Amino acid sequence: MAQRSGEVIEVYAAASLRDVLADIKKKKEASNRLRVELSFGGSQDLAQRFLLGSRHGTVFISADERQMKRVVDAKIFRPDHVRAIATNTGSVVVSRRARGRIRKLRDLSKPGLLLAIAGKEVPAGRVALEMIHRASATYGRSWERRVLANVVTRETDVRAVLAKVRLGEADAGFVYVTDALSAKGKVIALEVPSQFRASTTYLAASGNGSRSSGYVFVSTLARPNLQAFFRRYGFGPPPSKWP
Amino acid sequence: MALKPSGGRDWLWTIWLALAAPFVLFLLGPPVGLTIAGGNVLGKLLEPESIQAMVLSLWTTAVCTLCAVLFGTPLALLLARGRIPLRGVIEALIDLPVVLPPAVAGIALLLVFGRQGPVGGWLEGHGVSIAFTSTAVVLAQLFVASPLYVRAAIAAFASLPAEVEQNARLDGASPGRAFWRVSLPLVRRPLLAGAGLCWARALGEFGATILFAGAMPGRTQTMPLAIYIGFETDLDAAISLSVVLLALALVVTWAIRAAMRGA
Repeated sequence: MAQRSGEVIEVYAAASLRDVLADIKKKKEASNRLRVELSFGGSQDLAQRFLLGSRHGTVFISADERQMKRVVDAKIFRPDHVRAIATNTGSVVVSRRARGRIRKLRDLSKPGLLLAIAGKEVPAGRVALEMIHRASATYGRSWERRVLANVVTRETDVRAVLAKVRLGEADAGFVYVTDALSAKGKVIALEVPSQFRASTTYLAASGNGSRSSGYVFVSTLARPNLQAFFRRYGFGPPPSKWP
Repeated sequence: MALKPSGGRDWLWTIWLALAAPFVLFLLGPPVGLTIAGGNVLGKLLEPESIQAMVLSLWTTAVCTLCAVLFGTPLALLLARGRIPLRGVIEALIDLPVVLPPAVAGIALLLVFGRQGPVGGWLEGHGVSIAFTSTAVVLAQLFVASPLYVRAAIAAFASLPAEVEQNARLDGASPGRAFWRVSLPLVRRPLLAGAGLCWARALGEFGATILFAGAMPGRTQTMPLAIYIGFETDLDAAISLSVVLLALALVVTWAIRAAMRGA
């Protein structure tokens, strides 16, 4: 499907997609005569902006189903225009100065650690809490309590969590595997046992009809040539059956 | 008519009015709109996170204002009266935070007082941690807001004739007594106005705080941060806190005007 030339596609996307979408934007703009404008934030923040009134024809990519549901329920996007485009898994990164004290997930309950997490409405925050909860089945409920007591900041998106750990202000933070990969060498990613892992599905939607360039943009994201970009940054493929 | 100046030139007056009236409406719109929207959701102020934010904002700004007065008054006295070295540099330093974007202030504070910074790192080595504590909140407020007090205090002391204290000294008062009993009462009102301005600015501090102190309910999440986060999670709570800050801003502007009129 050819996209009309000279058009501008506005994309509001979850903060964790920053790097991969910047690449996709370059590729799209090189091979089509269109412009892709990217704006990033916590999915809950972007959803709120759509709810308070945003222009049609824009693309929204949420890092979880819950924030997409909010805008679909408000009839801003049609349910049949929503597509799953990728998945991501929770991860824990440790600042270089704290690597001696934090070697495995279990160490996060050590007293005096400063942990950063995304707010509970932020998809990355929900994934983090789920991971902590799953781990508590093995490490115990008091472990979960002590980990949460070490949390000193609840950031508004996952990239802000990563920044606090990279700067060494926080000793460790809950992010996605893709964030851990993007900051390789600057932070240390903890090994998370597979039974504790929690993941999330990215959903994309566009406002206008099925002929609009936004709709075309969203439907191409799931195609193999663009999926290769997501894979390179550590994202998982979209679930084969969705919803 | 009260609106018209004496003499002619009515057409010019009409043009001014035509430009000024929409501008006034523009300034009036947001506070009125916020008040109307806030009327229905004031109950949200009783939610734990809102109360935590109000309590935190109240005590951190109180500490900030006290520090500004405690350390700023001597500095203002020195700048207004004494011959001190590097006066130009110090005055520029006081003006800087007033025009510096708060986000820049936040990054700068982080680089110095953060755990990796020279001061923050040194303190951390001595068991004192500033990162992610209410102390970081106060430091951010102090850096951004205290210059407003110092500027007001310099102006107040500079306007005071030197003879006032000298006469008191001639009458036998000690230097300290002359200052406390004669000079200070004369500049009380402008000093209070400056402190009010400093407090209001500290209350509204957002950019430096979120970058430098983080956001944790009860510890670093002040009212402006709670509003920002509430925008994403609980809009009604954000609106109710906004109404409180609007009301406080109105009280402070009124109080400052009253104080300055008296002076």
